[in-house]
Amino acid sequence: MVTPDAAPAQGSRAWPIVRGVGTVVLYAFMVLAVLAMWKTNAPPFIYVAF
Amino acid sequence: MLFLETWFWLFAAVAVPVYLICPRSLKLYWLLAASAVFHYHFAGPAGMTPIIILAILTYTVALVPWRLGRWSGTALMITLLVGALTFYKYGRFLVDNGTVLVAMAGVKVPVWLTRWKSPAAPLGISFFTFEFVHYLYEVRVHGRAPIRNPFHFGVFAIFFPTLAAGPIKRFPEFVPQLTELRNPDVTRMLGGIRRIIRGLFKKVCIAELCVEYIQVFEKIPHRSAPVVMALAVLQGWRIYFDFDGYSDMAIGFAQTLNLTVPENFYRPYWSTNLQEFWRRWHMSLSSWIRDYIYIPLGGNRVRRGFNLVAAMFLCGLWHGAAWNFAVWGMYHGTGLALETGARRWVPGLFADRWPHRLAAWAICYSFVTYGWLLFFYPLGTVAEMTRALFVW
Repeated sequence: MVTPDAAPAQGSRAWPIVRGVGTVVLYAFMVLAVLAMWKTNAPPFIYVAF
Repeated sequence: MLFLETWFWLFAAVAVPVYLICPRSLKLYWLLAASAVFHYHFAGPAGMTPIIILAILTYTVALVPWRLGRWSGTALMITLLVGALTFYKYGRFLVDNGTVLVAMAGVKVPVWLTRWKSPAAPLGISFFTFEFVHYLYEVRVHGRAPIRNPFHFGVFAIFFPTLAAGPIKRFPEFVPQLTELRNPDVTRMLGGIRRIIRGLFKKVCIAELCVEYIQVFEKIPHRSAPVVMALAVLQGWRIYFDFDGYSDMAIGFAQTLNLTVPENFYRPYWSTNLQEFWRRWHMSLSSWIRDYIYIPLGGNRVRRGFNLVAAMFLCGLWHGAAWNFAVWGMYHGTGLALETGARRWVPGLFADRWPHRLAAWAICYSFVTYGWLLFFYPLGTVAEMTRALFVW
């Protein structure tokens, strides 16, 4: 039997997992996007010239 | 270039893991050696030599106080640092403008002077100058203890993540970290890696995309108001994502070595006034300008408006030896001075109510965005663009 208190406790356990998976997916997307748009000739950074 | 070159990734793939497995007693020496390899690779012997000479002189002058007549060693060293920066960065600019003035006065300019070519500026000379001037000033004027360990000073001078373009470090925060070098914990290491990925994404995927669109808009022969507006907005986003991406990577790499360096950006385009913008944009430079130019000039105490324009003029000119940078700096300085006056004369102007804040944001964003035209284009082109903005 599920007590009224059990649901929020389960939710609070699940939230870090969801956030962790979300972060991994987000950063994996960023890495893929970088690789997809990578140019052979590295573009210069503006401020390195200053 | 630099963080985007294959060489750098191979270097980082060796430098960071070896640092992590190094015994604690050797980490400092490894960090210095790795930074020296990085410096040598990107600057070459010609770029490295002047920096090493200036670093040795700065280290020695801070440790051994001496005087030459009325001049203290610190004042002479700061003059030498600024002189070196002026020679490398502004030599040609000064000669070109000087010869025009001399010719206008009817004096014949020597041919050798018109043909003189200034040597290429050593990599990161501006950032070295900022850090060394800050170091000498803090030691002499604020009485801080100088760095005695030459290896600590060496790492402070050529720490590879920040060597080429900052963030500009402050030695009282950075050097104490070198006395107890430890490996980062997993959370900090992952934070550093995430920061590097974010930086790469900002540079490769956003800033470079902006560059492609800028090239498209620049090819349009008739520059109407919408085209000029698009160019200004795109240039604003391009420079932000380019330098914020670079800063993220520098901060991220430092974090993987368990070292903290200053932040450079905090959502600058959300600012609702220029003071706030300069507290959020290139923060390590703007705080340097405040501490070592604006405050010594008199700061808020005397001639506040003049001090603001003068400090921002120098800030603009630092970005490049061309008049458009100087005008960009004075544009921001004048804006800051007017804003300061408005704050005093119209007390309710910057009220914390949403219609005020929205209007203030729109004015501030438009002001900054128009400024990017001055930053990126010659003054003649900006004059044409400005005309196009008002004549539809």
